[in-house]
Amino acid sequence: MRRLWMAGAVLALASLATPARAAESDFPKPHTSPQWFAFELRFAPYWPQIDSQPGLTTTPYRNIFGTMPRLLVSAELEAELLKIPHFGSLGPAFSFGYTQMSAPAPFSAPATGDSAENTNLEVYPMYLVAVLRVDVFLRDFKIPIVPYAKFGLGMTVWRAYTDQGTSSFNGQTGFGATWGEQIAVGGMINLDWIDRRAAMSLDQAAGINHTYVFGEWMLANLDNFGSSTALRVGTDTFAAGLAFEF
Amino acid sequence: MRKLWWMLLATSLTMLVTTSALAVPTIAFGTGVPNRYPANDDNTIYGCPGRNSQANSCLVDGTSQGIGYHDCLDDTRLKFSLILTQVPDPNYNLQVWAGTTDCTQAGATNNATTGTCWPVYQAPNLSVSMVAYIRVADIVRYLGEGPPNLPTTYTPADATTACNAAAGTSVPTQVTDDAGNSTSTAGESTVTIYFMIFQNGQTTQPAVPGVNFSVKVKLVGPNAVTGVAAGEGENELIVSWTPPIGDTTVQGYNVYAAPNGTVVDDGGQTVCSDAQAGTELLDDAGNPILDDAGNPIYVDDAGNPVAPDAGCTTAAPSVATCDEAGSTFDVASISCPTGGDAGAVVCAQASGVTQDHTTVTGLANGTSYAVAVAAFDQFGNSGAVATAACGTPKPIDDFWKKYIQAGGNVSCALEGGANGGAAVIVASASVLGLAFARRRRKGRSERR
Repeated sequence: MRRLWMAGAVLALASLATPARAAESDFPKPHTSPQWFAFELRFAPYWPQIDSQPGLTTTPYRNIFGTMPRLLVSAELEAELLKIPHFGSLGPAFSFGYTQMSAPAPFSAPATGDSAENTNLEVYPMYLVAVLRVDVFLRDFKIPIVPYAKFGLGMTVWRAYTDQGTSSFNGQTGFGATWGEQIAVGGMINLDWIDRRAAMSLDQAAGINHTYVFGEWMLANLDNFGSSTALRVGTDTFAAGLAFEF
Repeated sequence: MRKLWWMLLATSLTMLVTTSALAVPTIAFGTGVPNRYPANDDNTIYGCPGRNSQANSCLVDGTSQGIGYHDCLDDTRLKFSLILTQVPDPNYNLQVWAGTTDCTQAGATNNATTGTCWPVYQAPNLSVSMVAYIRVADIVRYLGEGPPNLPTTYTPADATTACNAAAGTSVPTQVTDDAGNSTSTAGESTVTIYFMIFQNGQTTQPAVPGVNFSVKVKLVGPNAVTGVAAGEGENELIVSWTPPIGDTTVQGYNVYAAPNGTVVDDGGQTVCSDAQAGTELLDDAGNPILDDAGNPIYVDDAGNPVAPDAGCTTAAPSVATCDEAGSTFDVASISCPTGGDAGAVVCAQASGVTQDHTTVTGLANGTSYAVAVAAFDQFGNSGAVATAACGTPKPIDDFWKKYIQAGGNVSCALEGGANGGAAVIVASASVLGLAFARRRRKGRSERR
């Protein structure tokens, strides 16, 4: 896994360092603005993998917060630095997101039942990945589908807290970060065909070349690369949202 | 000849009238709005005691702000700066009256039968620059009263008596919130203070109407909240309630908590206001001068004897209890210790008419507390207190505690490797941002 991650990191850095060989003329698009970036507004159900940490005697996350997933909202910005003619583009992307879990905290024994005070866990997932988008189907065959894959480094900052502030127990403070591999595979459906005139107007007015809806499987395997002493706040989930190329 | 004589007479009369008119004093306000000052302190602008909203509401501008119950009870005074001309003049005197009608009209003042205004100040001799401290208790004293019950001479009011009496005359008003809910709640009045010049011996109407200042008065708080509940947490109670529906006078809520069964006010103690108790007369050696009965003699600011216990009040004890039938919380007498060192009372506050909960922190686990909630308005008035609810803070097991107890362990809480990862991500994101900026510039130059 580590070798795989290293390869992904090298790929991401290479995509940063490689000069853009392809110019806009590689993809003739009369009357369109230059295209260098992609932006994604992402929504995903979030199940952290906390209870999978080796050595846990119970399932503290499920016992407190239950099994209902939370909504992870995030944004991703990609630079399409390397254009590959008749294939697609490759470039680095950075994402930042947020979600929070909250549930009534149970009373300590011998008292029973739930208190009126909430216990909370908030997470700030981030990642830096290399993104490969295969847009040959859209550009050469007019099939409005763009498959893609992402691989890179993920990190999530997390904080456990109550009304009293950040939690602390037995000398351990509930505030930290966990990192690991970030992988995603998905596809985008181009929406320009719905109203080509509107799409053209959007390009001319705002510089947005294409608009997509997308869906992807994503894995944030966050365990500090195999450490048994990491709060596993990564997730294995599906994400969907809107994407814009500009 | 006769014609000439008439002309001379007319000219003389005109000159006489003109000269008389020029001689009449004039009065105007000095600069600045009247600030509030505490009793017996002319140097410190009042700190808004009892006020719970509008940090600058100690200024009285007569429109959006005004006088509340605590301003009255604390014997607050309004300071007015006055500028006069054509003074001193032994033929004229300054009189200050208050009322809800026009006090400059004939018969509105100095008339025991028809008077609609009441005197609020014992003015000294006229001078070019004057400062007048008008007691709030005197301003509100006769609200709700009318002729022939209004006095024609000024005597200082007892603050507690005057404030409570005036509050008792509060006229309910109908209000409607944005959602269309209507309710009846305590209304406000507008009292105008008139600074008028009277000619000596002529009391029917002022020779100079002078200047006046209107101030809003509201001495009763909003309607009571309902459904108070106390949810239990660790060292805290989460207090919730149902706001009074439709009451647009609500600005926020005061929440009070005290250990169940404790006395939460100065019950049984006698509290005296120095201003009302008067000054003890002392001889040159500093020893009290005694009356015929051998008691010390107290006098007011005007030198008139007053009873030694004038202005003193004895508060009834108030006990916070969880017994719903007998629960009581004397909000007016509760003070919130800022440092929490007093331990008996802990308070919290929630702002906004629609707010329906807040958290009272700093409580002791295992102790039963009674909590009470009262809405307050923009004048700092607390409304009626809802039936107290009770709760006992207890230790909780939050997620983090459960995680650690289950064997969870984190060795790199934002340290070591995690910091390295953060550095990689931040550095890479910076590179991405630089690429973004570079490409944008390149794109622009290509277009040019």
